[in-house]
Amino acid sequence: MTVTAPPPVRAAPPEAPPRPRKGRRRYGPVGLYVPALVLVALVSVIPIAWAVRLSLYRTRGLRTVEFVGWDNFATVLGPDGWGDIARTFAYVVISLVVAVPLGLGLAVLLNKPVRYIRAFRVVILLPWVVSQTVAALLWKWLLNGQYGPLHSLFGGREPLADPIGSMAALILVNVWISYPLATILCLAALQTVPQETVEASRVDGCSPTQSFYRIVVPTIRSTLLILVIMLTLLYFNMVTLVYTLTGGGPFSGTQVLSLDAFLQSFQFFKIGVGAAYSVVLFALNIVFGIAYIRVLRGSSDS
Amino acid sequence: MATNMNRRHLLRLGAFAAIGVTTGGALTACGDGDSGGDGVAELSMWTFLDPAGTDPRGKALKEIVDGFNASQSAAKVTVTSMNYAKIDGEVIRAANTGGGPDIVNIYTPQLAQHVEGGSIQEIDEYANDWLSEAGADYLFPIDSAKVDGKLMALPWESRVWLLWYRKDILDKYKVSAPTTLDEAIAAGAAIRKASGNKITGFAIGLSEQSLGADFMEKFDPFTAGFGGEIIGADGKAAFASAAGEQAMALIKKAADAGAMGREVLTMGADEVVNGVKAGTVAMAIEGSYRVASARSAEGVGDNLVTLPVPSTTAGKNMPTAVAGQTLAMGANTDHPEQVWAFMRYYLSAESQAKFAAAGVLPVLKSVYDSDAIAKAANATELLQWRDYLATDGKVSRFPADYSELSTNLVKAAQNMIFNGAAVPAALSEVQTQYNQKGK
Repeated sequence: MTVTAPPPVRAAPPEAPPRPRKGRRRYGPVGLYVPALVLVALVSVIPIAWAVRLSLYRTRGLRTVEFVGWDNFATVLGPDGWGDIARTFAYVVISLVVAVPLGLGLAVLLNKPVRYIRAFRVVILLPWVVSQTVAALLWKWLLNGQYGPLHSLFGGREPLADPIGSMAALILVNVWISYPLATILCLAALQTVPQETVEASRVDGCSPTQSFYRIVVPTIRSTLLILVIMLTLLYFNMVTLVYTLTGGGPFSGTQVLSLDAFLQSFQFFKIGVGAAYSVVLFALNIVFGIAYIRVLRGSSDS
Repeated sequence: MATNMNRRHLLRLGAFAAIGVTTGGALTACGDGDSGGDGVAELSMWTFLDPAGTDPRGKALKEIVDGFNASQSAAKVTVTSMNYAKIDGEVIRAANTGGGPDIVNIYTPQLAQHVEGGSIQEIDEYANDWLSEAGADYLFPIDSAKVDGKLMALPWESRVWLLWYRKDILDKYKVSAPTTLDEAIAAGAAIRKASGNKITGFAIGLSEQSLGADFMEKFDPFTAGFGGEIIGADGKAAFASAAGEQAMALIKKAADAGAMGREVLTMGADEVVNGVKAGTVAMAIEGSYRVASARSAEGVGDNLVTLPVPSTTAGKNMPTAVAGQTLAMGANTDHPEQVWAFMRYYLSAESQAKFAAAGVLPVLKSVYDSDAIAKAANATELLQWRDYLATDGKVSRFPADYSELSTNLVKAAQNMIFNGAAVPAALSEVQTQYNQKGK
């Protein structure tokens, strides 16, 4: 008699979770960020594309009249335009060169454990809450050559009545209203620097200055880069302060691209020319942004 | 399973949200119509005057709007106040997106810009009958409100530019009131020198801010006074002429003589008027519409004296520009009849008298004979201004790109007056540039 053993019962494999359908798997995650893409397109991409289109047209009021190709850019990049571009660079670069180190320096001071530190922080960050219009009117009064409280500093001369003095005043006020942003970002970054690392560098023989430049600054480098990008965009696009403080004068000494874009678009209603100025500004912003990121990547690699 | 439920939930929520947004939008659109459920047309008026502010003109506006709203049941006007430097841009932008006000206040030099921007509509159809009856009562030709021969607005305010001087400052520096512009410049120079440059003797604002308006308000009538014009009948710039050069030379003379220094490069009309109020400007040429406000400043009062602007010859006046505020009909209004009814009410003798009491120079001759004017504290002065306007008023042409022209001209003026640029060449350059762009 032969007994045939029944084949061993194999345990049924656990039920696999239902596989999402192919289309759902592929498009599901995409669907989640579509709303964000649509939003970005609505508030950024479409207006930029529209501005580029406008910049190629002659306009009447706010309506396009005739395709003129690059004619509007001939105004922006013409002899007067290059002067405006040069002034824009001077305004942005000098403001950055002053505001970033000033913000960093103040952040280092505010990071020290001293008495009344909160009061110091409030006072130093105060200009941040002042609007550009108020700041411009305040400084216009301070610098007035006839009755301004600071007029004696300039020997009775009025800085705002001179093209160089006017640009210097514009940069001063610009730095005054924007250094608190630099200070806050730097302060936040400084508080993330490990104290042990700094102390270790001191034990290894670094001076405080060496510790700062070799340990602290590299640690907060990415914050500094973001700060520089933010301030660059802010300065390139600033209209209210320039318009209220100097109006671009005197002798066109503070005529910058952002003011040109505003005046052409909303004072002279040449929206095509205004759009051309905006496109050039946009391109400059992109170029500067990419350049900063490359600098950061380069130093990270090294 | 849970995932599917959530997804379904999400989809359901999304559908509800979409329906909600659509329905809400539709409901909002219903409510956005400017006819109330009771058949009253809701009219929006955009103006630089603030009915809730301290400016007497704003208070007069409030009385007039309240009076109109109470006078009939077909329409109700609501006022939106805006900064005068922003209102034109806001109106043009709003009109180009299908919105904008039913009624808009526009300053004469900006009318052509609004026409080009498509923010207002012509009112000949409504105004012709009224003008045939009441048009002769206008103090000056209504041409200033016409663009390409079409009436685009109704002037409701007129103004003259006057020689202002602070009597107390002139007395302090023992300078007598000028009777010619040359005397004004000499007196201004003496005051500035004696004050150690603390007081600008004779100020003409040369800042690019406010589109160089303060400069243009002098350059235009001065050019006319010497027999020229800024824009010719053919629509082309014509200021690079002997008259334009004389006008510019006269302004330059004020700087060369020391009546004004580089401080005027930072001044527009507001800064000049504030300087007069503060006592840092002794003399200026400013508008009649600012007199009441300037006199209300502490220590000013009757110390501020006004005269028709004298010419360079004794006993003769410089022309004064015919310009002022107007009311126009919004391009997208659904209630033109009611808007016109309001415009007529705004131009009634009663409304004009209310504005006159607020220091505004009325546009209708008959109003000057009314009791309201006779009882006004500054009745003599108002009549003097009226006579100046009637005798020496000059209608200028303001093309659509006037703002750009005035900005370019004031920049050129800065160079001519303070940087030694040759007057004829600099004027010709701006003129050529303008005329070439207009081709």
